[in-house]
Amino acid sequence: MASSLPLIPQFFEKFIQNWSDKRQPDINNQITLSRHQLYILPTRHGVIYFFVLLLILFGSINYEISLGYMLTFLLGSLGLPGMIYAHQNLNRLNIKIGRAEPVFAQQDILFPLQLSQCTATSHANIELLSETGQTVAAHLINKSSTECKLPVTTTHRGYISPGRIKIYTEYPLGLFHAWSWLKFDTQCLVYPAPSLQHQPLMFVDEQNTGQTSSELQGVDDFLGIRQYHSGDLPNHMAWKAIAKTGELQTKLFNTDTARKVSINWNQTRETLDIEHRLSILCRMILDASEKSIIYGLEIPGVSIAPSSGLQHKHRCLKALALFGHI
Amino acid sequence: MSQNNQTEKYMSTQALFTIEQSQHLLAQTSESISSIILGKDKQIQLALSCLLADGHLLIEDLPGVGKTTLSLTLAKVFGLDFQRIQFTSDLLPSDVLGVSIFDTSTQLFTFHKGPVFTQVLLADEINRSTPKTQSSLLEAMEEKQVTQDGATRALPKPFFVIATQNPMEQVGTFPLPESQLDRFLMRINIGYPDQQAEMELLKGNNRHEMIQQLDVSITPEQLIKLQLTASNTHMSQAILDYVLSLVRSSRLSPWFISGLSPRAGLALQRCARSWAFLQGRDHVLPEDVQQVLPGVAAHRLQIHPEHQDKNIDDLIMLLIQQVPV
Amino acid sequence: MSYAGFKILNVFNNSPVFWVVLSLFIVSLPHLSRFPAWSVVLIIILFLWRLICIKHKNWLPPRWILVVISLSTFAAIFISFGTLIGKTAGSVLLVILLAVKLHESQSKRDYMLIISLSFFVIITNFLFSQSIPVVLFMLFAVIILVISMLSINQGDAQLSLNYKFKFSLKLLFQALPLMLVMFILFPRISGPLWQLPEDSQSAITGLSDTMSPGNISNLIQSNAVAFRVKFDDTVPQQNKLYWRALVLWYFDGRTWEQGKHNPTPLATLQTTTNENIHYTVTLEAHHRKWLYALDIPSNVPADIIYTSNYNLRSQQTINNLYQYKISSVLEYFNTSEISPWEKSAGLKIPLNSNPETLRMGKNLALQFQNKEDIVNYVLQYFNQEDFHYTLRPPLTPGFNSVDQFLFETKRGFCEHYASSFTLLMRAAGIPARIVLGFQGGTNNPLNNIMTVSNSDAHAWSEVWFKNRGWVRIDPTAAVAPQRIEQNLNAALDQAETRPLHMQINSSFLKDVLFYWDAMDNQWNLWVIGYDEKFQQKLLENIFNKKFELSEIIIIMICCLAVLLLVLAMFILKPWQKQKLEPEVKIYNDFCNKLASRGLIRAPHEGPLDFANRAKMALPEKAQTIEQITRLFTALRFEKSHHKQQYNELRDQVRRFKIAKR
Repeated sequence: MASSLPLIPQFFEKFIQNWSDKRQPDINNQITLSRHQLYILPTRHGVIYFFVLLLILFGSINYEISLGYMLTFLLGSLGLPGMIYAHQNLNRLNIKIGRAEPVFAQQDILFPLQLSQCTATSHANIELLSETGQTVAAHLINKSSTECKLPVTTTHRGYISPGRIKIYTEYPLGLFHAWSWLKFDTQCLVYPAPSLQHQPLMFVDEQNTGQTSSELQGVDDFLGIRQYHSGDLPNHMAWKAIAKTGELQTKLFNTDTARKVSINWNQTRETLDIEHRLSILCRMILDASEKSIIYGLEIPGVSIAPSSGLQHKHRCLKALALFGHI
Repeated sequence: MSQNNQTEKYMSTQALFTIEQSQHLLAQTSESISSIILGKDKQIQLALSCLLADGHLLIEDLPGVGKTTLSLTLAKVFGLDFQRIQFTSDLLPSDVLGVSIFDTSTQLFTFHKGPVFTQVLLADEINRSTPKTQSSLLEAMEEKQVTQDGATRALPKPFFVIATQNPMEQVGTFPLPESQLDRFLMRINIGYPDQQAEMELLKGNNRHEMIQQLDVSITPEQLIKLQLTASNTHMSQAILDYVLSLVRSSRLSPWFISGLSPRAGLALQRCARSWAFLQGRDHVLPEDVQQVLPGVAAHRLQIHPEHQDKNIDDLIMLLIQQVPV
Repeated sequence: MSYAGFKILNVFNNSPVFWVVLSLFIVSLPHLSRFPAWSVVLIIILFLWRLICIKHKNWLPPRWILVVISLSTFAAIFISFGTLIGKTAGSVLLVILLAVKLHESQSKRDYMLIISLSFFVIITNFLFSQSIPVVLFMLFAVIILVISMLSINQGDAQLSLNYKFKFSLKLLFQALPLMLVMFILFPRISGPLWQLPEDSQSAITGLSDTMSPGNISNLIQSNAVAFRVKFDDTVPQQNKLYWRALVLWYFDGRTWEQGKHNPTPLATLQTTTNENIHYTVTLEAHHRKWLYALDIPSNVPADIIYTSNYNLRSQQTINNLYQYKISSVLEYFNTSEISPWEKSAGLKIPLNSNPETLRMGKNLALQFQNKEDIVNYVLQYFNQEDFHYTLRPPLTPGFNSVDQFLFETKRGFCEHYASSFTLLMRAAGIPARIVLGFQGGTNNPLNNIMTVSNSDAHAWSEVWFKNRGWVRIDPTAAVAPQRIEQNLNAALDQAETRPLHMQINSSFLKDVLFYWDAMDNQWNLWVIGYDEKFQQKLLENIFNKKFELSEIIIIMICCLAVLLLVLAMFILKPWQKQKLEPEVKIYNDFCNKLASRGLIRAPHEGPLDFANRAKMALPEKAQTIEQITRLFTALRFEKSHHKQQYNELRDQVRRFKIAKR
């Protein structure tokens, strides 16, 4: 974590961040770290470590303990290869960012990252920190590449980029904090957060398009029985099942024509703000696709013909995600 | 297991053709096929390399571009038995695999072999039948045997399925699920012939008659030997690395829902070998891998919804361009 | 390491707590023998409990228990030691507090802190000993500490024990040159910045400044080196090696003490020979001020005090290795009169004690005219009566110990003989005094350095003869001449149980001990005794030039910078590009040549495709391009290829030239 740097280095880190922003352009979707992008400062532990060594040195001088000098110098010297190894842990590491699956707002996007190296060194405990504060660790021990997923918290819909990812390590000795910032030119689509309330789906009457009738079930093939929803036709009530269980149940039938649903901007109350309306529409799309109903989407500026399937769902959700953005 | 490997090795050293021999045989074969299927050299080569890699072929195209002709020709030039099943929505698994019938005279069930018991099987419009029938065939393809009523019957050798499929947009079909598509080593599109080839096609004789007149240029035994030789094509570490990085970068690529599976990697390796063998080389070059990659990968990769507007072949070309040789 | 131990290490390999506990245990291990029993038990329990808590997280003790343990530790230490900041007391406190701290440590931060603080524990070990085994222990402890730091910082990576061990060794070896440079060049400041109060309890081993029955024979049990001597020329005979340290004047019937300061000015001594013995003494820290020298020292360095008893004293307590060069005269006489102070002190007899001895002394004075005869008579008496030389004499309690020894037990060690002889002399009217010091020494044939150890401790007498001055009389020599001619071991009875270090008979083991001793000496000189003077001398020897302090610091910083650069190069290997096979390198040269004509091979372009493109662009070179491509593909992708192809490819590419457009 960034906080493992002591106070003054933390200030430095900000300073270096601004500086590196200026001189380091955004990178496409992969980067090989070199010493030009790597920074290194002692950690808080490192400062304590060297302070303790200083005290030991004073003690050794005072009591003329030769071995005390030796111990101080040995431990102090250990810090230096420790520093070089921390640098090496990141040096010449290739980082590739992959495509992240779209998520709903307020969920975490998981950006897949592939770390690989061209030399045969072991890299352990390389940590990646997203701008929203999540970390993930990666290890390259006896292998040339590894993959990990970096979570990035989302707050709003639209295209979200991973922002400035900090890659850092304190391995091997924890005395030095070596890091770099990665700014990938990639983004992930974030759908609006689905509303928690379910709104009944409005089925389209094929004959009178535009007019919507209340939820209407098909009549041709008997599919099964489900819980009674208000608005179910009385002649579809499963009387036998009601008699058995004492609960209201409805028989379901399957027809091709009657199961088309139109999800329309106007079905949401006008008093609500845009985001709220989008999240209600989002919930309706999810409900419809879960029930394998054929549905279409009508929002100002976008009209998507009724269809079904994963890609259709994505198209509809993408329209909601980018509503007003273009 | 190890003993098995040893005998296989013994077999292979005994039963290998030299490059010159196989070149001679294959050149003849390609020529014969090219005389029937005009202007489709690349597709013929791909189909041949699929056959040499001992894998099944899926041809996805509109009707009438010569899918049946291609499979018939292949069967004929290799002197193989040929069967054709037209898949329809009411086709049952037993129509493909065979059925046990109670014989009143012997008081026993006797198994009547279905059309699958052949060397070359053309499964026409495979996406028209129900998933149940599809999967029965695909299982037979994978196992190279049929298990019916508790008895297992091996399919003849070589066994080569050419399935055709109409492009998915057509209604009333059951698209093959991804896991089933994986059973096909390669998928190719034939496409319309170019102007010159089509003109010759119009001028020429009836294709079916021409196929009947074709000479058998390779016997089934020779084919098996060729397959063995093809699988022995040398693949250097550099090529293995290349195949691996192709597969891995497909997994990270933003265009596909999920990348290539390890099985796809194996398929790519096999096809690259037989393709290189077809080109008359005893070693694989990066070009060979690049040539077969669309055929091997296209049906195994699902385009991500966000990039739905792009063509799978273009995306695979982009993938190739991303991976340094 | 035993198999079971190795298994445990493997089980806990990835647990940082385990490593922290282990390193804390190891750094405090040498201490445990010095600590009071209750603290050792407490420390072990605390360590074990923390290990158990790795598996059972909720068994960690609540904070109030830890506070109680800490407070009671403070109290217990104060009760046992009377202080909290003495050497031992402080170490006990430090180790226990760290062990307590372990129990509220759950995070990386806490563990790192404990690791850093455990360096203090290592350094407190050095206050007690700085020998070679201790430095070996230090290296081992540092390895474990590094492994602990690796384990703390490895996160959830799975690192094998083997890997961690090798890595820590690697780090250690890479740190060693840096350490050596700093050790040699870091400026040394002499003199303490502040003083640590000594533990009142801690017993100082070595010669003490009083002598009562039993205290030398106790000292004999230890084989610790007291000092080493390097003689410039010849080594004097064994029976001449009397290392004088202290003169005891005052006797209370049981214990001899130095008494008041002897105000006598130094007399001029006459020497019978011109033979001066030159030697260098390297004295181990004995936390006292006195120094050792043979008989009458001369050429005394300015910073050493020469006492009126012809003893040497240092101005400061010897808390570190101390080296001085000195000469001695073994044959001498003093013609001047005895000073009044010395006469009265040398004849002082304790009242109301040892009446028998006094009576015998008086009788002797009456019996003989000549004082030398009295001495000879007593020595004869010791020799011919049934006196025995033994390490375990019967106890002679009370203030009549000399009487008891002379007339009842007749068994004793050098202190008994010296004590009774001196008292007899005083009773007979001869001024006499006790001298404490060492007799003999073991010459190490490997480096010709004599080692004088605690087991060589000895006490003898000096009596005043007119015209001769103070003459050394060793009554032990009368009883057990072998003690003086050879060593203690030879003088003891066969049946006597010897201290462990004297039971070594095998010549091989003796050789090993000689080697060890020689090494220890080098260690003392180069490491423990490395100080400002030595540093200057070393630099002068190397560079033939005297250096200022600031120059030394600059040299050190430059050396460190160079070493760090070398180390960084060694670790990072910036020259190590992505490993390319030789044929690929050559092919890349070929591609670069074509690139100068605008034919740039795309990274994904296969060699055949590129060759085709190149052939189209450069039809006149088509054949060469084809050949090079064929050779390259053969080398890179074919199953079997040979060196010849490689050479051919290299030559072809070298010859391949295209005119730049």
